[in-house]
Amino acid sequence: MTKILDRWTILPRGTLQEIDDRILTVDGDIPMPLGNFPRRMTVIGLSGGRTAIWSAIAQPEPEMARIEALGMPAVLIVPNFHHRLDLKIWKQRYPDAKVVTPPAAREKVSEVAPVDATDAPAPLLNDAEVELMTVPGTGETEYAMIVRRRGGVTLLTNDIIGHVRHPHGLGAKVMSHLMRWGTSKPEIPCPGITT
Amino acid sequence: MKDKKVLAAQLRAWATIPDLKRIIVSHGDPIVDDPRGVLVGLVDKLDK
Repeated sequence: MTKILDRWTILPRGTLQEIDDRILTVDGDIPMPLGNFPRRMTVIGLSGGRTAIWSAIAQPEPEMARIEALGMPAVLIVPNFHHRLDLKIWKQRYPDAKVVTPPAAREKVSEVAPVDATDAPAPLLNDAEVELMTVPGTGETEYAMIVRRRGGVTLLTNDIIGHVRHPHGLGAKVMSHLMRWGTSKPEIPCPGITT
Repeated sequence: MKDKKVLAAQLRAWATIPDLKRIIVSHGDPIVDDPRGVLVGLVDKLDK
C-alpha cells in the first residue's frame, strides 16, 4: 500500500479544471512499481462559501488558492478507505473540515484522521444541490455523490467504475488490464476491489 | 462488491436521471459521452 503522506507533498498531477459550475477536478498519479496509477480529486462548491473535497490530492499553492476562492474546504470525503493517502495533510491544513467516509471504511480512515460521519453525512454538507450516499451492493465500502447544477447533473463514483484509458508505465498498464480498470471503455473493476 | 444485483439496481436508477451530464470517476477520465448509456452497459455486464 502507498504510504500515508504526513507532509504537504505534490505528486505528479494534471491541471485543475472547472468541469461545471462550481465543480473543479484534477487528475494525479500514484507512484507504484514500474509506473504511475492515475487518481482524481474533485472539488464541489457548497452553499455558504464552502467546498467539499472528494478524494483529496495535495496541490501547489496557486491551485489551493483557486480552491479556496471557490470555497473554504469544509468536508473531506474519503469515498473508500483506499483514498486516504492525502487525508492527514489536508486535515492538518484544514483542521475544522469534517471527515466523512462510508461505514465500512470508518476504522481504517480513523487511523489517519478522526471521522465525523459515515452513513448520514447530509447535515454536514448542508446543500440542497448535493447528495452523498453509500452505494448499495458494495458492503458499505463505497460512496457516490450527485451534484445538481443548472446545466445538468454530475454523478461522482469511486472504485465501482474505472475509466483508466491512459495508465502510465508497465506496472500501471498490467494492473489496469488485469483488474479491469477500463482501459478501452468504462468498466466495473475486478470483483472484490472495493471490499 | 458484495451484491451484484443490488449494485446493478443502483446503476440502473442512476441511468434514469434525465439530465445526467457526466460521471466523474476517481481513477481515469470523466465519462462525458452518453453517461446514461454507459451505466446501462455496465448493468448488462453485471446481469450476465
